Amino acid sequence: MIESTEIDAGYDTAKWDLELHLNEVDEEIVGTLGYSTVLFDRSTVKRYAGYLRAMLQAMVVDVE
Amino acid sequence: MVQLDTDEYFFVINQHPIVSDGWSLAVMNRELSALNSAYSNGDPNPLPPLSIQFADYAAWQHQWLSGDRFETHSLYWRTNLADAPVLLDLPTDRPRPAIQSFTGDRLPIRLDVQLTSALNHISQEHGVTQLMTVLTAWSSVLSRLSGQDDIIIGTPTVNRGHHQIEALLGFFVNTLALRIDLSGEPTVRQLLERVRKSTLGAQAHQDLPFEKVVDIDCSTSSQPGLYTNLSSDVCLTEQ
Repeated sequence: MIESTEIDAGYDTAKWDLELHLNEVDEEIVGTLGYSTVLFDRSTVKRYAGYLRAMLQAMVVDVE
Repeated sequence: MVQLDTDEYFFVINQHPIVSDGWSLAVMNRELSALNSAYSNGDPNPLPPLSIQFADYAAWQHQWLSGDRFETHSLYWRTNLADAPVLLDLPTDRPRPAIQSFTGDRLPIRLDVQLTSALNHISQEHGVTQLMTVLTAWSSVLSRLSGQDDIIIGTPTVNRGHHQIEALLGFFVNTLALRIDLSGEPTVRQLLERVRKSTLGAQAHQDLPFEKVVDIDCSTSSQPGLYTNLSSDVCLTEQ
């Protein structure tokens, strides 16, 4: 039996300034926030990801 | 091909994006596995012959997207993207270089079961998809960061709407330019509705390739104002 799987080659490109890729796996939304390293520091993008999470949490509270 | 162990190899494929997309990679991975298994057992090629090739699709698309249909689609995008902001003016840590660079990195994101389930719940309540709900939140964040109340977010669409092209390798994926109006301090409900309308409108006109949309929108430069991108990952197993 031969199996093949994709592996992360650790080589990343950013076509856009910020790229949000999400997917639902096992009842959780998971994915990545890609960014251009020429424009952004990782700490900045971490903060942006935090804003997104806060906004999603606020929406849940606000609407319900 | 790099051998790691007696029964483990590392196979590196480098492809130009013009001949591939995320869906194609999944197809190729599946077919390589099937061929590998079959040939190592001495079995014949198990893959069914393709009924059409990419060139057939390209020829069909060229013909199909002409005349009135092309005009209707063009008109939608021309109207929809009129006076759109050229650039999303995010507060970057460094100035944008004169020559565009494509080096990047990624940050993992994970929303736990509770939040995911709550988001699915409000999506259902408002008759929107999970993607639209996340888009609503993301556009609010981008709007606050940029100080703009008119933003465009690119979202990929797999563009594999016909069973004959499902098994093909090629660049089918298209980018939809979603223009989101955040003016007038909308409530969450209002913004969800705006995002829903914008997404459905774009999806109804998704057959016009992004490259053509860029041609229409002459006010824009090489990367047509779509400096951010939101996508739901494309994965064959989920189809």
